[in-house]
Amino acid sequence: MNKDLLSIEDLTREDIEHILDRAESFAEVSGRAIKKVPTLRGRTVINLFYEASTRTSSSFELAAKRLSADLVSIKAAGSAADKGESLKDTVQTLSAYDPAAIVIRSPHVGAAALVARWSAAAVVNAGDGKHEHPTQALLDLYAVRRRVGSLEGLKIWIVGDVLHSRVARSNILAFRRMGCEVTVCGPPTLIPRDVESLGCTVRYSLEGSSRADVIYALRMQSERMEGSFVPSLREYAARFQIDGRRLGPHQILMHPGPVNRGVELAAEVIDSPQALIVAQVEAGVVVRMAVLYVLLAGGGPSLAAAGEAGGAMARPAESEPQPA
Amino acid sequence: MTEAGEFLERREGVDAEVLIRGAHLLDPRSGLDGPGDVLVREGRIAVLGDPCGLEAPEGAEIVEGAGLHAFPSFVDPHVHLRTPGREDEEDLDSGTRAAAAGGFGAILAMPNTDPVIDSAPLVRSLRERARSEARVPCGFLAAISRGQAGRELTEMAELRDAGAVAFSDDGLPVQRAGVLRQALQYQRLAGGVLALHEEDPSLSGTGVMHEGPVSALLGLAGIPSISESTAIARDAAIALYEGGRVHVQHLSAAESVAAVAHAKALGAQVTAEVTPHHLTLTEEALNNYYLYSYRHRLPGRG
Amino acid sequence: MDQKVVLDREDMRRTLVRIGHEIVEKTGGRDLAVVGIHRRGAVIARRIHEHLTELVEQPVPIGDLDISFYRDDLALRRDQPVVHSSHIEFPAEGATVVLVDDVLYTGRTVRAGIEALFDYGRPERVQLAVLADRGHRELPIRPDYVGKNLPTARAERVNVRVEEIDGVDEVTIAPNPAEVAA
Repeated sequence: MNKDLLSIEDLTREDIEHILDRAESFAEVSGRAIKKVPTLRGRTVINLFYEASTRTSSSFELAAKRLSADLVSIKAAGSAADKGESLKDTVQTLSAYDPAAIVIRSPHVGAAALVARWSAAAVVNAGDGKHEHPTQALLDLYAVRRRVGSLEGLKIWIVGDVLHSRVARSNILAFRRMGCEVTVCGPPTLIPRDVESLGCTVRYSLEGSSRADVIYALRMQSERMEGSFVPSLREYAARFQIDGRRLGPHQILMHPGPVNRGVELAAEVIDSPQALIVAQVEAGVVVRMAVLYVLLAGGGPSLAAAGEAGGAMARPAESEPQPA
Repeated sequence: MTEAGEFLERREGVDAEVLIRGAHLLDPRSGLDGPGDVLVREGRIAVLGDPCGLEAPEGAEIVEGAGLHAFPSFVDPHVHLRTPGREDEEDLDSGTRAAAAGGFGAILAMPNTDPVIDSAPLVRSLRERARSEARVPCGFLAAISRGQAGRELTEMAELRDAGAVAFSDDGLPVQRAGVLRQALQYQRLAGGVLALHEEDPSLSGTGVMHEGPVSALLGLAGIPSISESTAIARDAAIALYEGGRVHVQHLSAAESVAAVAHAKALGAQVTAEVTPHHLTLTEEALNNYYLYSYRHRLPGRG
Repeated sequence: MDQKVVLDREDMRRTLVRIGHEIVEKTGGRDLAVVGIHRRGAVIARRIHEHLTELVEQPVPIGDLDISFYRDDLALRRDQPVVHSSHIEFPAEGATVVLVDDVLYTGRTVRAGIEALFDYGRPERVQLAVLADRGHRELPIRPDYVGKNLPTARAERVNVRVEEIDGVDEVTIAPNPAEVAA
């Protein structure tokens, strides 16, 4: 693992599995009455959100708090960024707090990567423009893995507005990395040119989607859609809405939320047993705990010698498997 | 491939039983070029025979073809039935009667009516009327953009399902390259060729005729040939990029022919049509007769 | 490697049986629960638990704890500890919880274990059972039940091996290779 989590591209399959395994451990923590462990006590996590977000920011906040980190949440509105401060100046100012991690969401592609260059903290990309949203992809993998056990060989159909979706991009990469077959499906106006280069197949109709194990519907951002990218939401729904007729009893339905009821998903499938949507939200907290844990535990700045001399618990004789 | 026929409608009726006797038969596709008889049964050519060698079946109409030519029927991919909205000018009955009289066996009607054909119910109602009124098989195009305003795509997929044979904003160019691109992308889903009225309004301006010596002489504002040819070059390039199919409507200038040829050489899926008057008349018609009635939205060119 | 076996298979068995008896004597066997610390502590806890269920009439719940998230050296370590899942599926409230680990050394693991345990509830009492106590405490922690006291040098290593993980039951003392090399 690198210092930061900027893109699914940076992760190996082993890295991803490691994070998902950790998330399983945190799921146990989240099942307790006291959903908190002291793992990151005394360390500071900064949430820097330049874009509106409810579930991502709240789940990162909960993740940091359940790891006992000190948390500063900054939303663009009302922050110095609103007053024209550049991202670099903001990051330099925040660096004075010596954060262990900075979680950033920005409307600009590459913002997280820039922050990672400017800061010694571990930087987590919580969405950069239409580029990537790696923790969403990880929590999606986690939710699927929990439901079906293994990701290998699963057929995933990602349906809808792939063009404007960082979730789609991260998920194509993530599911591919885990050995899944990925098909993207939507109106041709909403499928990015050359998206096949990410390793997926392109379809312009749902025909054949009954062979999918997972149907991942994307959010239609209706406010900027109608008339330009699709003629109408009505026509979109007629062709691409996942409804009871198009969702098989053994298929899994996913959606990154928030759902436009009656557009990308029909009401009857949202609450169907096939839907994994609530599990995805639940996975958000434990996977983000796992990401913070994996980035911040271990890999500390100190020398190996410090571990030997100071960290008595690190001694293998007490709790670790030993070399034969 | 969808059969074009499934998009065509015509009036129910008794299929013709006709014997054409002794006409000069001409069919470039089969190489037929000489006198002969044609027996039509149930609307289809059943037998070709030697001149005056076939017997007319009971009840069949007989056409004496001596001195006449018989061709395979023509197809006009660009007609205006002016329905709905201007039925005083033309309607399904008059337009398809004219087509039949002129030897046209199928026609495609443009959607720049009032209202513009940009929704599925309009297409369905036109097809319904064609089933009761059309004398020859008749197909209907739907608009590319809502109200032909050039900004928002029509529900092309639904229009196609409703039976739109193709798409066109005829009468107006699709000015925004981005909209045309989206339409070409959407074509992958909806099917249906995009028939394009090619013109750059910023070049044609207030022009009323071909820009050249005659317009200079007459003092009429000219429309330069590049108004059309540059639009064709642009749209063909977009079609090539998106792998879509476009059809150039009423092409009128030599430069446009070159632009189509060039695009085809590059692999673009482009077809074109030309009108009889663009083949037979030039701006000289205006000069010689000074008849404003020759003015045409797309100018005759030298 | 030059290592000395201090407990063999039979020694270990007898030692754990004895600890079971001591636990019953000291607690009266009421409201008992056994919780092992991953990984080998959990194995040893299961064995003690087996003996206890023979000695005590009422059921004795068993659990295991992973203390990775409670370590005090997470920021210091270069590598990440191997994390296992914890399983405490009984109410800790009111119980006498016997925490079990293989080797007691600095006391930091036990401290983390106690802290982890308290996140599941508030036990009446917490006691500590270890297979081996090798000294060198860094915290004020004292075991209630000790299998064997092993006076060692810091440079030495105590290896507890259990059949379930290592294929053999034994406790050995060996010079720590890292420190020998230094």
